[in-house]
Amino acid sequence: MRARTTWALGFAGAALAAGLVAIGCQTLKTAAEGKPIGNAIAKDLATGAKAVKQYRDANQGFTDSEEHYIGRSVSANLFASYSPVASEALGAYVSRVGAAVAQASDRPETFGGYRFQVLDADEVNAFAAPGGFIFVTRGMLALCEDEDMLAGVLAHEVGHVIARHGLAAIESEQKKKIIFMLGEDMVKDHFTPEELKALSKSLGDVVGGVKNLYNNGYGTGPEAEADRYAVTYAARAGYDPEGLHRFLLGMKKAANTAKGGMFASHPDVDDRLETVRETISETRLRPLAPATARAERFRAAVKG
Amino acid sequence: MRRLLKTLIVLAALAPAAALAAGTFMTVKLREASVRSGPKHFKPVVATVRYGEQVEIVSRQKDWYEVLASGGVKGYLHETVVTDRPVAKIQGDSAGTGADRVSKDEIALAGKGFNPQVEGQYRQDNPDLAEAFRKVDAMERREVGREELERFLSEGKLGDAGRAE
Repeated sequence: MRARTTWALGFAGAALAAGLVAIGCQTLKTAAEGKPIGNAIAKDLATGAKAVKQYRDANQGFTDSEEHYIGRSVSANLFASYSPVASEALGAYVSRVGAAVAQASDRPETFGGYRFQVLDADEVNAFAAPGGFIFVTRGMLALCEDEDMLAGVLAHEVGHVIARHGLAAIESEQKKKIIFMLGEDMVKDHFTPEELKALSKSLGDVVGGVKNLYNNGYGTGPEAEADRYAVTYAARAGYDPEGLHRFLLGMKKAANTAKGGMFASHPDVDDRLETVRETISETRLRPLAPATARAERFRAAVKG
Repeated sequence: MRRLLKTLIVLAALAPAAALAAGTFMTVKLREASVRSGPKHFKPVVATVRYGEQVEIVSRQKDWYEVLASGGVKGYLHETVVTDRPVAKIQGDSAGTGADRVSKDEIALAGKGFNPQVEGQYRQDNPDLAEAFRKVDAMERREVGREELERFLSEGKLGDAGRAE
């Protein structure tokens, strides 16, 4: 079950229409030969149909590598406001927990790989940039009492990456702009300085759109979806499926005394607790006692 | 007659396998990805495939493809690692070179938007982000190694040591 299909279908139709119009006007060229694709269709209908399919498929959304480069720029903008924690040991530990749940997910690897970063901030927040750049604040770690809770939190962020929540809302619009802007030249190996300028601005727009989500969250639907993924992935990695539930209970308690960050951006904790409870019962996952080794290494890395 | 029937039954049973063996190829769309010994998340890694590499699909098992990678290595790739679409050559990315295996026509049609070239322009347009991008580079370099992760999983009774499906 993946959320990415919803936007893709809508845009595929638009891209197909655009592709057909372009081909009708004989303006779309292949870079290798410089021949209008319209001629190719006249010459060989099958080749033409293949070209249309490839054109449509190739343009229905950001590719994995584009997602990676968008994620890098989104992350850079986060680093403009937040510093990484100094402790390398803490960073390494959180990265390992994250890598475990990411590997258990429905997208075990991304173009450049998942990366996890602890931010030196008291506010309680976690954020996933496209492509698998995942951030969690020191304040969020303080709310986790064991590794299984942390795994639930990180698996929730992995869920956002997999469902591509950060891009879903903006990508079809941006991609359409890019195709419109580059027109037949989009197949060139290099961009002209003007195209680069325009693409850089377009990247800025995308980054702005995604970055807002750090403060505002994704909304009830995507958050519930990420919670459902989180329970499944954490359990698949061998963690207690109750980890996220226990974390949310702790968050509910803390919400009475704190404001901002996660508390402002994430939907009502009671709804989330219910979603998590439902997922655990639907998937018939048994609770697990956190292993002693996990408890010890969590204490040493996070509470030490 | 009975013999013919037998032959037909055998042929029918072989048909799906034969269709796959006819040479369905897919292309790796990530910088690199792990080929595992079985169709499960924590199975041992038997090979690594790289961007643009074409793998022959042998069979499909749920979310995994059984593949023949280059060098004749057989193993399993997660479905999200490969694509039946052409992959674009990525100017300026270490992954770009592998795409040469794909025909030029296919690369041309893949289209491209945000790549290292565009990031370079974006950084030029936003010079105040220079230090922040260095932090992103540092974050990207901090990869959890395969052995490091395996040790972490095993010590924590996770992955194959736990109850991974």
